[in-house]
Amino acid sequence: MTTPKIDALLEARARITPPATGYQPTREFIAAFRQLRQRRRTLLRRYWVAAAAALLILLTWPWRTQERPSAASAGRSDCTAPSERLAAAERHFGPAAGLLFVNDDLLVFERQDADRANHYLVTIEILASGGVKLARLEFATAGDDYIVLEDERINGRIFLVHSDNQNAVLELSLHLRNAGRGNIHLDEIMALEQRNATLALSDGTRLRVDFCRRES
Amino acid sequence: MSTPENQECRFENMILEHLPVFRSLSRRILNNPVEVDDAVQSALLKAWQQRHSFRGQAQLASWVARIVINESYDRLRRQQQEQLVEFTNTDLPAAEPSREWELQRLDQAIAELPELYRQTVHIAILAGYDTTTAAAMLDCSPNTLYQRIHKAKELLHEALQNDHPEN
Repeated sequence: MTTPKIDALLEARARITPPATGYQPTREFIAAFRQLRQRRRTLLRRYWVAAAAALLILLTWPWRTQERPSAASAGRSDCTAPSERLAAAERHFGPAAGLLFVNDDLLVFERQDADRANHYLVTIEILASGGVKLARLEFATAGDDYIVLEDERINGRIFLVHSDNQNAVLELSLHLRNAGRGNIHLDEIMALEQRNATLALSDGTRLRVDFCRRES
Repeated sequence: MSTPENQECRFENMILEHLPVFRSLSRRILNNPVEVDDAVQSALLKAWQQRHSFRGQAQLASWVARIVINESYDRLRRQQQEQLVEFTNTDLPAAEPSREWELQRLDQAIAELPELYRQTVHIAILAGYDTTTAAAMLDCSPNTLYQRIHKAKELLHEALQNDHPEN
């Protein structure tokens, strides 16, 4: 094909104007772009969290298999500071990841608002009538949070609304598969007017919640 | 300092203002409105993800326009690969080829040009922008643009010269 022929073809190609109809309305197009961007962001975050979780499991495997103090002693001599293990997990995963200890197991979840700092520490304990600890949950939160948990050990949701530094309302709808200590189902709403509150449940068990503003 | 919300807002305003241009550039390549919208969405997403590599002195919309062209040609190449049998030498017409066939070969040759020359052909020749606008969109001087057009035509000639040995 000669150069003049190519020039002629290019001119002919330039004259072909496809119809400018049949497109999405602009607002819908931008809304679709926003959704696409959000989906991609969520996907990337999930990949990152999954990779980090796998890494943490590998790194902490020797520690997890060693004999160590029970959940009861892992705890809350001072509820304004996170436990060592929660602080270590926060350092490792960074502030954007949601971290929850169910007894000795760490769960990583997607935080509702990853941009806000986790200023509050929450510990939830379920105690049998004799004071024996059946389960313990420990996590940090921005204060207002809606946490959805979907794991074989625990599923359900934790809904937390706080009105000022100390007052908060906690709604729990959780099902825990508690190996060896029986499954636990919680469907409770608690008003937290102090650092901690205890609620007697209908089956004789008790729910104890610590809700503290952390001291940085 | 630019917050993430500001960046999103600025980017969406840019889409709002320049979407007709992006579509017009893409539809000369892909023709089908649904494919055009898909290509533009995909290009915008790539631009958003790579926004940190965007050089401030170039205009954001021009940079995105070039990504739209690349994305559209990538899709066209994929389509052509699926229909490859239509363009193999065994299908070369024995007599005078039809204009449609020649234009398809031209599209294929443009799609296979290096990115820089592909963008040059598309913006400066096919889309019909004047020299100043085309040079601005390609982030180069008019003189450089002429040189690139010349080189692009040479490359097209090389790619297409064996189509009709008798010419």
